[in-house]
Amino acid sequence: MIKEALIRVENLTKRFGELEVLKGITEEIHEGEVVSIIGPSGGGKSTFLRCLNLLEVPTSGKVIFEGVNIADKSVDLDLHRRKIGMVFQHFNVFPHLSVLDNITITPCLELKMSKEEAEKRGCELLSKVGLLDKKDEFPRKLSGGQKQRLAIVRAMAMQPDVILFDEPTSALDPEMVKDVLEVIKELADTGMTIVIVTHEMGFAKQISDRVFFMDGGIIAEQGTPEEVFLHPQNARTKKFLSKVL
Amino acid sequence: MKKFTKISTLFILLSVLCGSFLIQIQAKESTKANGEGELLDKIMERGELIVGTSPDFPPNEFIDTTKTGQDQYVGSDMDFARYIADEMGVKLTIKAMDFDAVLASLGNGQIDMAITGITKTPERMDAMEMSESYYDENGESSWQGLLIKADKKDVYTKLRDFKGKKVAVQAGSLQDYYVKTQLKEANIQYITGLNDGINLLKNGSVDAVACAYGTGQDFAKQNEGIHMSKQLLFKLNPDYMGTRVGIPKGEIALLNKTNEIIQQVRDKGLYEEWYQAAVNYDKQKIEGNFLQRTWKIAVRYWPMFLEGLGMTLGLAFVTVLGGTLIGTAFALIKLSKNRFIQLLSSAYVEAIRGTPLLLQLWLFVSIFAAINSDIPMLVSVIVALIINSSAYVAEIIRGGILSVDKGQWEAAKSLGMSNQHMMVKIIFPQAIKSILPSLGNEFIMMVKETSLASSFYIGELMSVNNIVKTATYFSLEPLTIAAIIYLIVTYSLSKLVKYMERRMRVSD
Repeated sequence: MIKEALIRVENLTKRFGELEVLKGITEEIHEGEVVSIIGPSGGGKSTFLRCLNLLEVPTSGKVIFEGVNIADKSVDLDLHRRKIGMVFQHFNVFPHLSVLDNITITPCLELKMSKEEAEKRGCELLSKVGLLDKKDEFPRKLSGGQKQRLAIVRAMAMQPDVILFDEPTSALDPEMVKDVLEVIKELADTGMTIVIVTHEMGFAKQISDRVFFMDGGIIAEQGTPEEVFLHPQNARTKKFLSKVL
Repeated sequence: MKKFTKISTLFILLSVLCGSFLIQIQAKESTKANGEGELLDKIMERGELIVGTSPDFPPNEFIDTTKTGQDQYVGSDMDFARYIADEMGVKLTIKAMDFDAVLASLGNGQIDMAITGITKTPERMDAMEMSESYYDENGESSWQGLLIKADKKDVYTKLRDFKGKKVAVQAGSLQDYYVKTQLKEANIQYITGLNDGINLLKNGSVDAVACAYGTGQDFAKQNEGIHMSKQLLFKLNPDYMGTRVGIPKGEIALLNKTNEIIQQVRDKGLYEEWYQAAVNYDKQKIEGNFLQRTWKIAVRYWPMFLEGLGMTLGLAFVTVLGGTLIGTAFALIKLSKNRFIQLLSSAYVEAIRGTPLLLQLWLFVSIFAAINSDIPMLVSVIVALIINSSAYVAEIIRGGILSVDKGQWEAAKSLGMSNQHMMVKIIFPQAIKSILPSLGNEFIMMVKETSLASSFYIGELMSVNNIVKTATYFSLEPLTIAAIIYLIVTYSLSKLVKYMERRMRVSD
């Protein structure tokens, strides 16, 4: 069981001017683990997640990914980011590219994958999420749920070692949420390492190996879904759960 | 505090930039002073005499619109210039530009001499060498006076009647001197050309226009309702009489040679012949009311206006194209992380956006002339226009790039795209939607802005307007034609840009 963590953060802090958003977090995420991050807004969940692939540059501390501190300015970030997929709240699909091109562009450019190979794999991924018939459409023709599914397979196409989800269903109409959660669950079942910031408590409970409760810039409580949801120890966790459940 | 340091660094950069320019020009200037008197040798060596003139002063210098190239510059001064070149045994090249530009070009070495009806004034004596007078110190054509409205003939009968009245005069001209000394109680309205003065007089903005008697008579002949009165003449100061050739300061050998030739001209009475010929030069009189005159001028000169429009559009196109290339570079630099070059780029953009285009045109024409007087005016003008446009385009492109949703940058980065791929494949293709219409608007702006280059007679629409103005003695009419052409072009272009904008939006 002694295995090097996939991601290890040490004393991670982040300030925005006077505001200290992350107050020194040390934590590990292991390969194959599904970690949900819950907590009140303003608690630092998204900032923490965005620090994991350096979209947010930490004020201090280390982010060690596969043994390399990627918060160090001398490392080639792009190289490591290719192994850390990310799915955003607002999808951020590329509007000027067709559905298939959204998926193939980065593997072709950065992994030097051949066009045929990238398209073949792209189509496989699209059929998994039920979007194969849309492959030549442009994103403006897709619904929110379809866009988010596209964003997920775009991240998967890079064959990452972990995928970060930043509130992937918060911007969706309620009837679209289920489809997207379904895709994430299937992904989790394949053994993909996942870190997800979410407000879907039921979903977090169902898929997570571990749950982080973040509040006030720290991980106030963490444990298995049962521990956190059914037997919370921390007063703040209790208060939060009493409001959302 | 941080902001303050930034601003002061900016200023230091700017002053260093200006300083280095000045040093360069200074160096150039000092070599010029050392080579005092070399200009004559240089002219003989290159076999070419370059004469500057402002061809809006008939009968001394004006443009025959039926001719092209060097032949189009006609009038007694031009015959005189040809005679000088022949006597020196060299080829003559006439450079046409505004009167002020002629005098300035003499100072910076772009022309060898100025022959453009120059009279002596105290300021001019400091700035240049002045030849002996080549024409008429006593006769009618040396008279200086005031043009007035014909119906005011009986109101203004002596100079004293202009107490508190408005008199239009060209700054730095001989008339300026007389108005200042003999019409002390009049209000001076400065104008850049006599045609403008005539317009002001006609619409009642000024009460009189100071000009040479002969020129005033010409104008009165062509324009109904204005009058050159013999009762309203200035008392002439003998020191400032006569028309002279302007020669760069310190070029004594050239001055002596010129005076020699002038002596011949005077002995043979040549200038009077040229002057008579110029007065009788065939000019078709344009008659009718305003609309008829405008129509007649349009019909007669439409090929020139069309050519001018072509030049205007060409200039605007080259400018925006060049401006886009340079502007893109500056936009990218401004978005880069390197603080120093970022600051340099900001200084560039601020310096250019913070100064008027006309000033930049003059600056570049002068700097280029100081570096190498063989550089054609058109090149200096194009460089100035491109540099001006690049500062605005830099902001357009920077704005376009920044208008792309932040999520797009983050998505590309999170996928591990290199910066270059992100810009080329993700950001630019989306930014172009807001950039293209703005570039279209910049083009429309340039179509209008290039008119400022007309000071240097480079042949765009506004220069054509000036030429037709002198050729016809009418100014409101050609202005109306030019205005209509500008309006049609900019209106259709802006419709096109709007259409483009709509198309771009649809594809979102």
